[in-house]
Amino acid sequence: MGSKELFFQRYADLGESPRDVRVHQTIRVNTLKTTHQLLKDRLERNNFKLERIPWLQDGFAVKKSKQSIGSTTEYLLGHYYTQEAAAQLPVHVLDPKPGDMILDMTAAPGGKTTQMSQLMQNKGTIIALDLSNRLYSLKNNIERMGASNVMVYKKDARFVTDFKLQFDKILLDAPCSGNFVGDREWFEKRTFDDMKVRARLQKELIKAAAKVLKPGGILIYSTCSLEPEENEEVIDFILKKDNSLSLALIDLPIGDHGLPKAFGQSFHPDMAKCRRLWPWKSQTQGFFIAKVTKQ
Amino acid sequence: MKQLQSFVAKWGIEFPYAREELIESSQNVFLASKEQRERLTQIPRDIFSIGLPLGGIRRGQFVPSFVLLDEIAARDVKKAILSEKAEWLFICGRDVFKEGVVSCNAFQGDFVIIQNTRNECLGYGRLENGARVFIKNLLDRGDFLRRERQAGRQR
Ligand SMILES: C[S@@+](CC[C@H](N)C(=O)[O-])C[C@H]1O[C@@H](n2cnc3c(N)ncnc32)[C@H](O)[C@@H]1O
Repeated sequence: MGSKELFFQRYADLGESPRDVRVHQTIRVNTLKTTHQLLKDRLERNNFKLERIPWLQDGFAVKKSKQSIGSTTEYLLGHYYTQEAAAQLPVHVLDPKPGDMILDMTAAPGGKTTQMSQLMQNKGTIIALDLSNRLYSLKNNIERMGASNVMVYKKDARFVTDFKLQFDKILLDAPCSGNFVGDREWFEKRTFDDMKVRARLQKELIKAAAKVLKPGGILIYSTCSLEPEENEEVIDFILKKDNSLSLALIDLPIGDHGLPKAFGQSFHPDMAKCRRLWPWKSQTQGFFIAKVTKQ
Repeated sequence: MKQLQSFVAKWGIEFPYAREELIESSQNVFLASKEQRERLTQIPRDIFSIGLPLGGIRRGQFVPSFVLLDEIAARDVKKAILSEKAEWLFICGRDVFKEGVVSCNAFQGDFVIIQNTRNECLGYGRLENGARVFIKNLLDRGDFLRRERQAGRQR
C-alpha cells in the first residue's frame, strides 16, 4: 500500500470518505486599498471571473483566468492577497478589532498578519514573529498590502515569554505537515515520524502561547493539517496542562466538529467546539481551528 | 537615513517625515507610529520590520519602497503616464519607449514617477529621450515578484 492509501485509510478510520479534491484559487480583497466592487470590476475587465465566497468577509474564488492571478498590476498594487479560502477563517474566528494588541506567533509570509491589519484598519499593534527566511516575504507583503501596524521580530516563538508582554489575542497558525490538496507530491513527502516531530514543536509553541495569554484573552490555534496528532491532540495536551484554559465554540457556517476521539484515544469532551475542514466536504484546503480562552 | 534624505531631495520636495518617526534597522528605514515607537522601548531587541518600510540599501545602493514612491507621487513632481500596454512592459522590468507614453511633464535627465492612466504609481525612472529608450526603468512594482523569486532561490 502506498502512502496515499495509508493516509486515506486513516481518514476513513476517522469516519470519513476521502477523495481527491481540486479547489479554485482564491483571493482576499485588501480593503485597506480598494473595495470588493472596484477590484471585481477591474479584474473582470481583464478576463478574470470572480465569485464571492459567501462564508468569508473578503474572499473571492477565481473561476476563470487568462493570466496568473499572482502577477497582475492589481496584485502588485496590493489590492488583494492570494490566500486559500480556509486559510482566511482563523483570523475571522480571532476577530481582530481596531486598537487590539495581537501576537502572531508564526507569521511569515504574512497572509494572516496582513488580514488582521486590514480588519484592524491598521489601528493597534500586531507583534509578528517567525524565524525563517520567509520573514523577507512577510516584509514584502507588509509593504505591498500597506499593513502599517505590524512589528516583526526574528524570534523563536517558543521563547516569546522573553518579551515580558501579555496579549488579549494570539494567533498560533502553527507550522504543520500540511495536506494533500494542491500538492501532488504531498503523500510521498510525508511520514508519520515527520508528523510526530511537528506535534512536539506545536505543543511547545502552544505552551508558550498559553503563558503570554492574558486572563479573558483568546488564543486561536490553527493548522492546515488533517492529522489529529497535530490538532486535537495538541489542544487536549494544553487543556490538560493548564486548567485555566477552556475551549470556546466556533460558530462557522462551514466545516465539521473537532474529533472527540481518534485511533483509540479520547480527547477533551469539549473538542467538538473546534472546527475541522475536510477538503472533500468543504471543497477547500484541509484546516483545523481551535478557539482557546483563559479564565 | 542620509540616503533616504538625498533620494527625496532628488525630487525637489520637502522631506515628508519627522526625524522621530523614522526607525533604522539593518540598513532599512521604517516609518513607525508613536504607539510602535513606545512599544519598541518595551521590547529591547533588534526589530526586523516596524510600521512601513521606506527603503533600504541593496547592493550598496538605496532602493526606495513603494510606500515612499507613493508618497512622492502624491506631490507635485515630474511624472509620466503610460498606456496600458506600456504599463505592463514597464512592470516586467522594461524601459519605456516614446510610443508608450500618454503624457509626461519631465525634461531630459529628470527623475520621473511612472503612473498608469489611473494615476497609480508603478515605479520610477529617468528621462533619457534617446533614440529608442525614452525613460530608463529604475524601479517598477514587478520588483515584488523578483524579490520573491530571489527569496525562493535562497530558501
Ligand atoms: C503555517 S506557516 C505560517 C503562515 C502564516 N501565518 C500566514 O498566514 O501566512 C508556519 C510558520 O511558522 C514558522 N515557524 C516554525 N517554527 C517556528 C518557531 N519556533 N517560532 C516562530 N516561527 C516558527 C515557519 O517559519 C513558518 O513560516
